[in-house]
Amino acid sequence: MQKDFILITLADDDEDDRMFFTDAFDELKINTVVNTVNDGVALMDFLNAAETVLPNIIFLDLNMPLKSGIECLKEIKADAKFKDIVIAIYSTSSSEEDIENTFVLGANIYIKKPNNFGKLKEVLSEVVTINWQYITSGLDKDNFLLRM
Amino acid sequence: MMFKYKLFDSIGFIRTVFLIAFFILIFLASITYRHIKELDKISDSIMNTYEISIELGQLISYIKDAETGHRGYIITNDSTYLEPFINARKNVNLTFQTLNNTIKSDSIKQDQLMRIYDLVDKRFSYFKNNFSSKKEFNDDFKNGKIIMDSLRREVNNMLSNENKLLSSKDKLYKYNNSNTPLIVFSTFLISILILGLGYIRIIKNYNDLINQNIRLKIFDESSKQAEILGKYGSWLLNIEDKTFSYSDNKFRLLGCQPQSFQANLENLLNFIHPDDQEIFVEAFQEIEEKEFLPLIHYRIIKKDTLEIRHFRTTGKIFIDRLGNKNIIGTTQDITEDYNKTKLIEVRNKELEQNNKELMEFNHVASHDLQEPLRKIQTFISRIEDKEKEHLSETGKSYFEKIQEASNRMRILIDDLLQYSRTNRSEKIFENIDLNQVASNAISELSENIAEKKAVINFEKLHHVQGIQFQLEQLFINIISNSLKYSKTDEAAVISITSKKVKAFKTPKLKDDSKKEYVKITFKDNGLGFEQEYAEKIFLLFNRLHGKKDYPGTGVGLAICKKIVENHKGYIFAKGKPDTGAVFEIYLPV
Amino acid sequence: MTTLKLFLKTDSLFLAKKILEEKLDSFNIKYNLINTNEILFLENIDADTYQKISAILNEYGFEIIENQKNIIVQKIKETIIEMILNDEAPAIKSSVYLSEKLDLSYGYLSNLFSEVTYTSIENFIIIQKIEYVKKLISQHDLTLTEIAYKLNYSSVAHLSSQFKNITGITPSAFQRIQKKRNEIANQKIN
Repeated sequence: MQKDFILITLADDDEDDRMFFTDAFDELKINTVVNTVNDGVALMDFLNAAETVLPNIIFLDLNMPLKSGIECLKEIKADAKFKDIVIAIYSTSSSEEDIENTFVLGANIYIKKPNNFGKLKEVLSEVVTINWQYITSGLDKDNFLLRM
Repeated sequence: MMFKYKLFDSIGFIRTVFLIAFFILIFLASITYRHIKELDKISDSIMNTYEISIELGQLISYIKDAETGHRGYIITNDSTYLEPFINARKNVNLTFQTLNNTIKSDSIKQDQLMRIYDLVDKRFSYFKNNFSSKKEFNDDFKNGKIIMDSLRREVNNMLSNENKLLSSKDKLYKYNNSNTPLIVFSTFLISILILGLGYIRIIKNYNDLINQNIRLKIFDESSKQAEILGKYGSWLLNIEDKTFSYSDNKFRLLGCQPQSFQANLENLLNFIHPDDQEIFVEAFQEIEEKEFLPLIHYRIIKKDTLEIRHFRTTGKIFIDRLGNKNIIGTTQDITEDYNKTKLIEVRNKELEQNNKELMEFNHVASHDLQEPLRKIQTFISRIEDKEKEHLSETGKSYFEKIQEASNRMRILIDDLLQYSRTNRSEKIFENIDLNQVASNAISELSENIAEKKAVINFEKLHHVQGIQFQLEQLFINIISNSLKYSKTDEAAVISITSKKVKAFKTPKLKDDSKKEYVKITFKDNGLGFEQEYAEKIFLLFNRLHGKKDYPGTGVGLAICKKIVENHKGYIFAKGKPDTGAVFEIYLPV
Repeated sequence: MTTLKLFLKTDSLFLAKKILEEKLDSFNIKYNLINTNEILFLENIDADTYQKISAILNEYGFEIIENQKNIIVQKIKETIIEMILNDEAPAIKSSVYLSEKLDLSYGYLSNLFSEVTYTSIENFIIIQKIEYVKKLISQHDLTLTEIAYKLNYSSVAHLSSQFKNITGITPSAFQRIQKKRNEIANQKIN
């Protein structure tokens, strides 16, 4: 957290949500580099591109056109290249079963989009912090499950 | 109309009556026979006695004749006087012969007779012609007289014996048979009585038969009317010659006049819809081996109106008293019902489709409403952070109102979403351990529980068939409800217990079957409620308090009810104001 | 096709040591390996070699700690992990344990830790405990009650509560998820 910065990618089709997200990180005092994509296809293209430096964390919205968050999740987990990336589902409210299902499919984090900017900052900060601890303490990433 | 069959016992009764009469007659006959036999015997005895008397009398008389003759000869010396004397001996011998025959085997009488014979012999020894002296003459006559006297005595003895015998026999006879007239008479009376009863019974049975016959006729009539009303007809199939006997209405169902033709399998086929003919033929072929006709459904084309009607037929074997095998069956015209059912099925499908669409709509609406609302709220929070101080006072207060309203909307949409979710999930039931459900629910509410310093107890809850998430939601909602309405001055204590109950023992469930339910009881010590609202609290959006007093939209318990209904269970609430509330949930095992 | 399913218990320390030895041996420099986090090179190393060594170590997740503070923090972390993994240790207060083990005041340790890691020792302990709970759950041997007891929680409810606080899900949900993940993984093999 001191010298390295954390690479974060957000995949969300909603312009306002992308704005909230990037604004939040701007206001947080954490070293992060945030990039956003607009849909699932763009995300996979980005990840698969040769020149891409893979992000540490991907924030994934579920309701996206062209390719849904779940489809992206499955693809990412299926590819060994991406095994070190922490995947955080970033979505509007879902049913309990659906949330549990995202974990079963391999997501590490599930975040319900807060309805308050202050809360959003808190949540994102927490996620990054905990993620950092996982990295620095050599904890088992398979067991990294977090729900906010 | 019910008959009572009493025929069987009257036959038995008649048989018994006649059997009794028969035996009585035999009894009578045997008594009569015996009596007659007795009479015969007595008359024989009398004849016997009289014969003996006569013979003995004759004997005396012969001897007297001999005496007289002898005396006469002695006096006159005329041999003509000797005639009776000579005859006398002959007659006496004859008499003895006769007497012997008459007495036969009676040894006493034979002895007596021997003595008499000896005496007679002795007497005859004193009938001499020549007397050597007057003294001999006098002695002879004297001895003669003495013997005669003895003879008389002896004969009288025998006679009196005979008489005594006769009178004793007579007494015996009278004694034995004194009752006979009475017995015969009373037996006669009894048999008359029995015959009389028998007669009455027979007449009664005959009347009963007549009545039953009348009732049968009435029954037959009403049966015919019932057939017309119920649109069915009955038939009898003779298995041997494959002919049918049809009731009148069966003909009418086919569109023909009653009894207008002799129905058999072939001409019946003419009425049947070509597509169904095979089913029909097959079913009837199997009748013989299966010995019944299972329920079959086929169409016919009515002869008079040419419309297609739906028939349903069934039958079973009936063997009559002569051993003939018949199939008795019923055929019903179910066209109306069939059409109605089809219509209902169509309507049902439409309703189901409609329902499904509504659910989807509900879900999508609640889900999609979240997005814009979230945006509103997030931007509100942005404005609050950055721009609020630039607003005027009124602006600020308006802004706060917007915040409040949007918060309220948020809660409402959350609840609606949750409600819509309880319907959508696939109903795959698994074996769920309620203890696990309870601990999960308590985990989920751990913050709230800690905050209220509440204590939740549960132990040894049962297993049920259900959906994990929904049951957890159920527990969460009820516990959360209890926490929300807990008393402010008293720490909330919620206890959860379960036990197995049987449906018919629990009147609340209005189910008389032997089904087993698990009854889960949630008891809290909160504010409770008035019992009259016990059913209202489960209504959607129904609240017992104003929205300012307690937060909430009134959906929580409605969701509980929906979940319980999804599990085909029941939920009841009991409340006592200021004491607490009890929620009883019944879930099928 | 028949499949065989194995459950592994990982001895990370052993693993680390093996890798270090293997990699360091390839450089042909004399060294002493003290635990898995101290290497004493018995020869001088030039910058180039240092870079190479550093790069190779990084590849395997080993990070060379640059400064003293980091070293202490690292030690604190290790001690805490050791304390948690060690069942037989009586329930001494962690602050006392750390202070004694590292021979520094708890106050100092606490401040240092927060400064470097941006979280408190208490928080770290809780996180580590929960991590261990997750590991135990994944291993399938113990029930939640047994796990709660092993880690000195006063009750399963207490464990569940803390678990949910940290991760946002209940231990049973975690168990369920791991189970379903394993099922999917097995299906893929088949």
